Amino acid sequence: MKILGIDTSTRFCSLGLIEEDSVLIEYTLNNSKKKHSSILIPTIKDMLERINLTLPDIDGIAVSLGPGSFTGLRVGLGVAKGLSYACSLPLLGIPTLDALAFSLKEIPYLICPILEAKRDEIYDVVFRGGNKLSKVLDYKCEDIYNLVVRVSLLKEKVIFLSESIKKYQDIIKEKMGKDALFINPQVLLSKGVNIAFLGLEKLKKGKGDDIFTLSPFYLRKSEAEINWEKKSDK
Amino acid sequence: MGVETSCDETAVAMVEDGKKIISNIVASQIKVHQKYGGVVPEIASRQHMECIIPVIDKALSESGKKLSDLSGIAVTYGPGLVGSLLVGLSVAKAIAYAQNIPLIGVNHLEAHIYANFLEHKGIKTPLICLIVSGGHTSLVYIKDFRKYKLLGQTKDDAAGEVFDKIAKVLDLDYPGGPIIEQLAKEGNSSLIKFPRPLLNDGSYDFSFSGLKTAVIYYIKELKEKNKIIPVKDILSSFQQAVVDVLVEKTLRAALEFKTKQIVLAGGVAANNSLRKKIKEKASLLNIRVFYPSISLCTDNAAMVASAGYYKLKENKKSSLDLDVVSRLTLV
Ligand SMILES: [Zn+2]
Repeated sequence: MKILGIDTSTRFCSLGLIEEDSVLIEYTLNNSKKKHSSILIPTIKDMLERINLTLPDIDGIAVSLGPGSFTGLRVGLGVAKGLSYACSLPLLGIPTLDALAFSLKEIPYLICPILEAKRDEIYDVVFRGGNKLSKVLDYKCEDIYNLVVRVSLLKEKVIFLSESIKKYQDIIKEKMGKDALFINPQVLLSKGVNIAFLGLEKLKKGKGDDIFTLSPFYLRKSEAEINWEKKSDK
Repeated sequence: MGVETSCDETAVAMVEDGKKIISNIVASQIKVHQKYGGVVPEIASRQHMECIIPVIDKALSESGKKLSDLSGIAVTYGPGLVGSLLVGLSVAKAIAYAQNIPLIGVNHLEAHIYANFLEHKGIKTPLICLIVSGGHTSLVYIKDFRKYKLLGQTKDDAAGEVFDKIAKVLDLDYPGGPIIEQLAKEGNSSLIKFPRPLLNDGSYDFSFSGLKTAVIYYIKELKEKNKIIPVKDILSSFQQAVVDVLVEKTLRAALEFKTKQIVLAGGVAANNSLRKKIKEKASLLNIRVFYPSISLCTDNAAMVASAGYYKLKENKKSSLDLDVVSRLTLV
């Protein structure tokens, strides 16, 4: 089975096409200048043409659901929904943090992928690796100090994965010393490929998502909702 | 197929040959935004993401057509809220690519004008068009189909926006237009003399923020003095001020450009007081006034499909790298 994986949750536009357990092609564009909205479909088109495939050759569309940039997530999910609706393909939503950690799933340590959120906050989760990823601490939006406190209580070696690892390295080391290991995920398989692999796993379990109702996994309310709740609490 | 998600309405329609509406679905988010007293962009975008496929599916099934019957897909790419526009555009582009059919990016303002051509067969150019809604107040001279000249526009708030804000000050529901129109009916429109900004400045520009401030100040003063607030009279006088400015400038443009036809477009074109007043005054000058039925005045996708049809006829297709333009203008 062939699965197309799409990730636009960060400034990288990452696409992967896999067949069973091998990668057919992957594209990752550092897209800080151009917008995902203009390049996503042309890039998918280009990628498929490169290996002489067309949309009907694909068996499922996997897409990162977030957390991540709200705008990026909407472009990715919008395109994924449109493609799977038009081609009657299963739609497979995958949490972005799972895709980030997926490359390290064989390593029997704690794995903590981190994504940037707005306002000096991060999105994170903690898995235990080894064969498959199992969740140790749930998805959260918080600041880095909060995460370090929670993770250091586990008193184990933890691999931190973040595209902006430099920003957090010192803060984490100060509290955790040698228990903390760091990897910049840019050296691993792309998120698009990992999304596709996770999508295939999901499809084989028969758990395609409902294209009518699937929403991004925002993990963070909109400012208006937060303010409104504050106001009505008073 | 037309797709429209520029503000708080998720809309999809099927239109044949630019004129015949075969289905027209609008999922409004009014209820979701009501408690905030206006449209919240992030919440609007999230709602569009949840509604877009069900609305597309409903528009298709009601039309009895399949995606493979489409000759093109038209979608609003601006002006509007970026996050909202992106949902419609992303889905529309994906469908166009998957079905291998033309994508036609449509200007939302142009689509509002086309709402008139959907319903009225007798409209001929040249004509003057007043586009007036919660986001826009523009006066446009249409010399020939798809040839626009912007004569003037609002320098601050859009007319519809002021209706919403005044409704908010008086604790009325969002959107303000329909409820103000309802209450204003029973009020005295000449009781309070509110300003009519730029009425006689010779330009075709509008400005409504001064009027808004005057109304809000008037209400505030009564509140501070613990006096009874004559809501209906205030609203009636306020609405009259807006209508006076819109009618005066539109008619003056029609006279200057010697057009015998005027079209109204946009959500505020649903206002009966505006419709009545402009028709009355125009008939004295032998000018005909057209406006869409209420459901086609407010945001919908039939108008987008119609505008897309005429663009496609001119072979004006968009490429798949089309992006949203939040501040897109008509010309
Ligand atoms: Zn509109």
